[in-house]
Amino acid sequence: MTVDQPSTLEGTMTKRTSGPTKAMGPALAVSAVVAGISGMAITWVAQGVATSTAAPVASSTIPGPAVDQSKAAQLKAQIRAARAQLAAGTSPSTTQPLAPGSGASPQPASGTAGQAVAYAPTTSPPASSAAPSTTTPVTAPPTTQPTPPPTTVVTGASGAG
Amino acid sequence: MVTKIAMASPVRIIATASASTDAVAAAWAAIRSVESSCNRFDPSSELSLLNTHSRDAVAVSPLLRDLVGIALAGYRSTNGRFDPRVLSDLERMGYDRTFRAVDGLGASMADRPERADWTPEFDSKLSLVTLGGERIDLGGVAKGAAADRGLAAMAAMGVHGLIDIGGDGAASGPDEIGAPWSVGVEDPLGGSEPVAVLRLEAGGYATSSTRLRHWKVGGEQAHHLIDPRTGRPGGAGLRSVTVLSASGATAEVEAKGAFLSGAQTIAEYAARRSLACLWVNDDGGVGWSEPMAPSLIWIRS
Repeated sequence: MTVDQPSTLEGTMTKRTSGPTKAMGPALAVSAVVAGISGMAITWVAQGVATSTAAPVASSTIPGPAVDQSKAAQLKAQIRAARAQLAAGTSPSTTQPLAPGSGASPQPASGTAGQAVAYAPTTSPPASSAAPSTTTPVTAPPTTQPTPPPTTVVTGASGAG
Repeated sequence: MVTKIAMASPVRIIATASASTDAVAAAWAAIRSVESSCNRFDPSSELSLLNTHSRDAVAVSPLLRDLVGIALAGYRSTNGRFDPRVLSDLERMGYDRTFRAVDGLGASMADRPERADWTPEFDSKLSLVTLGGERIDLGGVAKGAAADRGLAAMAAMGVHGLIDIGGDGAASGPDEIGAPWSVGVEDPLGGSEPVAVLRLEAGGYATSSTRLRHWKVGGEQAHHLIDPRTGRPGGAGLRSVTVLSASGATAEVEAKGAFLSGAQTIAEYAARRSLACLWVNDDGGVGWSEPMAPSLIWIRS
């Protein structure tokens, strides 16, 4: 049974003309994303930064008219693409990455039992004083934005028959 | 994007090329082949035939032979945590019909004797499979394998994309702008917001969850994630486990094996197997393994 059969493309970003490209450096990529935004605040977290700076390292609010929700969704997708570019190893951060478990990965705020087991800081010093590691791979911390980014699919039980 | 129904689940086929109608059709045909071969509720399916003659060498299609081979590889790699022979346990607990019809009446959660090692036999030349006397359910592995085969069918035509079958699936590369796919992890406690969002460049994703498929058996709560070692529902303390892996089929196997390790030992289990794994405990707490961290782009605070 065919429920719908529109175009074969998922997403709306194929026509992007001003967004970041793989040829751009990370700083340029971020600038390109910001330049396309009007009337909304954007925050993002650079990859591999120390927890003391893991709060958004860049933030921009540009006055403008009310945000078009569809435009906002497009821009979120652009930001996602920019993040992917940054994660590809072109992080603009000059700080050293932290070892997993040192607090680089943000914990759920409540910290109740059972949360973030693998990343519970058990032996490392507090994040604010954690020494940078030069021997462990970069571990990108997830963002701490209050709302989730757009998703292509959702994995779980609800889709099962 | 094309959405259809197969394996009692919605199937989403997302191709990254604009002229991909033929490739999507090929993917759909591959998915339907797996479904028709592995449907245990269809008495005329190949799997039903194989189960009916579980002690005999049965001539099967290369497709079913491969799927049984995938199941055996999963059984061995998880040291038996994944075992398709749990079919008889599911039936004993009342899951002997499509889930919507399960009522638990007349079902039992009584203990059963420990199983012997699973040693099915294969004759590749004649495409024969001998199950060894016990029937099997390919369930989630078939869904993952269907996604893998659908992607392979598209790739053979030069098209890449993502295929999701009821919340599990696989991708053969990044999306149409070269960015990773975003995979939301459903809140198994029923919240409208995902508990996390993962990035997926390529490979499979699967979640084992008790959210929907649970029922009562003699006053006890039962669900479909059976621990093959005990024959009873497993994964104490966990509500869901999501795994990213090399393929849809292996993601299914690993998610089930990790879930059955339970809340107390899942972190150790995932670390030992280097699994990219994220789990949600009964209390809603979220944990993840080190290999999953690079794929986490958002976590609910």
